[in-house]
Amino acid sequence: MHKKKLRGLLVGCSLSLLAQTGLASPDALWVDEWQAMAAKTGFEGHKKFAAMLNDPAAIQLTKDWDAFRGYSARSLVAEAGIPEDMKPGMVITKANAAQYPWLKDYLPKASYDQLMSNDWFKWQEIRIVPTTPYSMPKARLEATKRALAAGEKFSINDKGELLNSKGEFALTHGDALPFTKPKTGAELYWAFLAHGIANENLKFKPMVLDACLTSNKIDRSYEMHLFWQKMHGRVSVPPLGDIKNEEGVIEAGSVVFLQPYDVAGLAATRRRYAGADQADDFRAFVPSLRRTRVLSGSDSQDPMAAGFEATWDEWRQTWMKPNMQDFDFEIVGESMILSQPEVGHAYNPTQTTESRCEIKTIDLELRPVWILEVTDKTGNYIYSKRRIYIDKEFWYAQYQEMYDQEGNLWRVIDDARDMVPATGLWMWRNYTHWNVISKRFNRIEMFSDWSIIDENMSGLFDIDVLRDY
Amino acid sequence: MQHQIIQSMASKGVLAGAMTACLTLSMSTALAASPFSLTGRIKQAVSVAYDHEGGDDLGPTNFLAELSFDYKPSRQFGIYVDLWLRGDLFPLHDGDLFDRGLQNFNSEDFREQFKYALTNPDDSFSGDMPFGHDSDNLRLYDDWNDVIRDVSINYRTANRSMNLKIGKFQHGWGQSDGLRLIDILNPQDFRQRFALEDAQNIRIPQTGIALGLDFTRLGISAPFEAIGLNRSSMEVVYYPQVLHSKFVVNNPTPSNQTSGGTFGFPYPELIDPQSGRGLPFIGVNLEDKDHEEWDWEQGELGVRFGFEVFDAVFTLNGFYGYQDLPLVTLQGLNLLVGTSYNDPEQAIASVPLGQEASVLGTWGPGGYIDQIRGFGAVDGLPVVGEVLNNLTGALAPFGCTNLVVIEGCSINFDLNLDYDYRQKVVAASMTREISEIAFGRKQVSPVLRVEASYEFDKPFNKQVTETGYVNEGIGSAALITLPENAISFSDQVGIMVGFDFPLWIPFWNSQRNSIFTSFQFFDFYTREHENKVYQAPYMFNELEKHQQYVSALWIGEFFNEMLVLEGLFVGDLSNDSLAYRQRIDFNFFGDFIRPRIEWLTFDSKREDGALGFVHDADQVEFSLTYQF
Repeated sequence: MHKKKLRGLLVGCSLSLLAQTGLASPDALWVDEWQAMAAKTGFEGHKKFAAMLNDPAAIQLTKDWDAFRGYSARSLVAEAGIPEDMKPGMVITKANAAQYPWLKDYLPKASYDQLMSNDWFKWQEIRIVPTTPYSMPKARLEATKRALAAGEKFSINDKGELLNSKGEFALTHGDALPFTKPKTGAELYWAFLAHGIANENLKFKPMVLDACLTSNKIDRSYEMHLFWQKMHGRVSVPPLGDIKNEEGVIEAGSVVFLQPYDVAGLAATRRRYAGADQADDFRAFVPSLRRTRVLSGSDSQDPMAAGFEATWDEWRQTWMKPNMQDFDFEIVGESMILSQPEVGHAYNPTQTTESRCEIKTIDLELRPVWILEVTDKTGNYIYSKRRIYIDKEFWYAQYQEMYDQEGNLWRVIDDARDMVPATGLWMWRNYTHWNVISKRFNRIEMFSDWSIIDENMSGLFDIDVLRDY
Repeated sequence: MQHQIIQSMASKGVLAGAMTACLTLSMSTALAASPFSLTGRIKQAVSVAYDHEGGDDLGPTNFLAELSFDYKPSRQFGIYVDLWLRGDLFPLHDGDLFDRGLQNFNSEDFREQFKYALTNPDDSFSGDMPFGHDSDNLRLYDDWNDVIRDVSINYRTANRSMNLKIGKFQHGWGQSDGLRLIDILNPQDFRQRFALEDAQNIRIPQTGIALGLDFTRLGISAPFEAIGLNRSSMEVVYYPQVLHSKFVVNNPTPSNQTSGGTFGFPYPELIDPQSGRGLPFIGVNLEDKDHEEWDWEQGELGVRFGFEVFDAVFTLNGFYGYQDLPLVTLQGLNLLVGTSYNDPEQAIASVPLGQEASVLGTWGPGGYIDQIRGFGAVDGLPVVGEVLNNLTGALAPFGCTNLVVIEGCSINFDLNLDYDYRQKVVAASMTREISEIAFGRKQVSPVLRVEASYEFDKPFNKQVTETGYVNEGIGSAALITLPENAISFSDQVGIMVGFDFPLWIPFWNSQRNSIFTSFQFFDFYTREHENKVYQAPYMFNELEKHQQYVSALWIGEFFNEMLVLEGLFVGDLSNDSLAYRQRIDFNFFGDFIRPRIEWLTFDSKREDGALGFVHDADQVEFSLTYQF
């Protein structure tokens, strides 16, 4: 026992020394690449993220997930073969974009158009960062392995509900990730939904949103506090297992508006049930009434507030319930895409200009993705189609394009997460969300409050509590 | 822009508010990212009243400066302060608005009413508009109960199982909008916009304590869960500060003149229904008879038990408080000798009489009512006030007979607006999304809201009163009776059924957001409605057995939510009257500037039902709000 502890201590000390000297593990080349890039750019955020990646716990977690998946983002990129001149630290601008003919192959057209834009929501420069391994928590990995070892077979029924082998709702009666090797669009969508927040408690304090006009001036600015919690299958953040009195609820969220004055105090809670037939429990505290109201949880297509491009269905890229009757889910391809890196724990990869309505520098990273198309069969959904680029390493969307019922590209989301490399726990850092029809840009910046990991969240999804927030 | 607005406000008399806001602007920056929060607004409105007695003219010109301050040093503890300074610049305008006043003793059968100028303080005591007021009571609401909207301390346990709030605050309950069944913890302020204002702006905060208990988080929910009640909770609110609703009657009586402007309640038409004649020479002094403002033992208590079952949210509520609207009782009268215009300053003598003498003089044999009924009966000619004034006197029974010599007499009755009656209500509410039904373009489910209340022994003024004499008290003068004969009680049941539905317009594929729609039906059933008036002193406003109302609200947001249209329709089915409010918000100017056009229109008869109180308050208002 004592020997074990001593050995552990020595290993820990040596790993710590290794980290302090800045030397990465020989098979953690991404750390070297980040350190080299940080040295080149001199950007403090790069240096900080490089240090986070150089944590032995982070490297080990990466290896564990790589072993489980059988591949990593880096291995897929290496196999795909990328242009030699796409190097970490390189800067692409409108002026030099033509020098890189491969750019249009990797940068989605909607992003490319903003780089080329002469008027609204201009991107001044793109900075390429290394393709980096991103991990989810170790406990989630273990739970998933356990389920596979036990022969767990997930299935999706006609209603689009995710069930385990016992016919129970998988996300309220288990802790494993389903469909880590998805074969169908529906499986991929559920893998994406099961990624959830890649955490079990979440808090943004604050979350700020600037709704920008075509003129690159701010129309409205909001400040909010936002909370989220996974109710079952909790493996990383106490209380483990289930949150009491949340039977049938996959997760719940709440938001309290602090600014501007005319919406200050507005609060909403939303509970997502596992059952396809059970609409979200959606309640709001309306300051002008000073009363709580039950709202239609079945209506998820309204903007979350005035000026927002995000509807309730765009929380977490898409929170749309997988209704198989009304939607087709299809994997239409696999690709590499340049989208924002998940570096939010160290810095915001989208640096805006002083107006906050244009991008000064955006860091982008080459990521391997599945392309999932969710097509509305009814003609009545807000979008005729969503094209979601889902990361092959952690089953979350890297990028999304949404089309109106006439088939025109309408809205685009490229978000960046706040991931702690050593623990694999995630929150968010930004939502870069723009509307190419009305030419409006929403800049959302999230400031993760990690103290929520140790906090009792009880009551934070009770609208009567938020009334006196 | 900010400075221009502040200068404009200052020049219009809201310097204090503007300066406060200016100070706040600088402070709000300094306090960013701290436990302090400082916000506020300055609003200036101007309106045209286009359906008033006096014709089109400048209407309410309200202003408001608000300052809100929060201090939250920890998750568990918070201090909240919200201060208002508001008023109306309308009194500064020397306009032509007038309302109806005392019965015109020069008119045929005294049925017409003198005019009452609402912005003109001169009392000419001649012509058809002998009375006037400067409405200075609207100018600035600087009573501390008006200024302090919230000063409270909030404490919450770490697991949020208990919440305790102490201070002055408002507390909203229930599911109804507009009409109140359960949301009765706080009285209402009708002075500026009747009930057609956002609920939080018309609730009158009171000082007290509110305790919220979540049984689940306290770990004591098992007994309720055993019978299927989930998420059980309880709230207890106790207000030792007892306030009542506020309104202003456009009372022309010179000794008690008040003006509420276009939203002032009308001075009642004083008519004897038997003869059909008006009641001349009668004025009224109205005096609030409140329950004591601070009553630590007999204050107002509200209790609410909440739970969830069948995917619905239920509450059971109880309220033991005081009536927010008054009963009217007789205090006595003053006989004014030497003036026909009810002005004590013009009188050569003022003779006070008690309750019994007042009743005797009014209803006794040969009394005032008999005199009114008897005039002109001999020759069948119409009674003309001048004849009455100069040759004889209806006021003879009060001892005023030699009118020619003393140039007339008049009477000012002293009436209590009595708020010291208990209000005892039990109620329940239920709200649920009806997910079993989905319709419309987006297949969305409506939300059902239901509320029911039962009020025990609700007091009403009687429409016909015992006088102790042969004459029964009827019509306007029925109020002139002993207080014990004036009031009767009945239980009243209120029911509201409402639906909310986000409307997606068919075939409008590019519709960015839904139009929020809300419909409500109300029925107030009074078990023993006979011989009761809806609200004294409006004595011809009979209480229906079923008072029924409907309301419809729609809110549409357009042009990326920068143009907001909000329409509210209220129909009083029992009185065939309606009101409509249309708001148009132009949120095109960023976060700080909020211009609004608001149109209010009423189709109701004067004094008839609730909407009859504001039957001619139609207006179009433009307002500009600077918020921070």
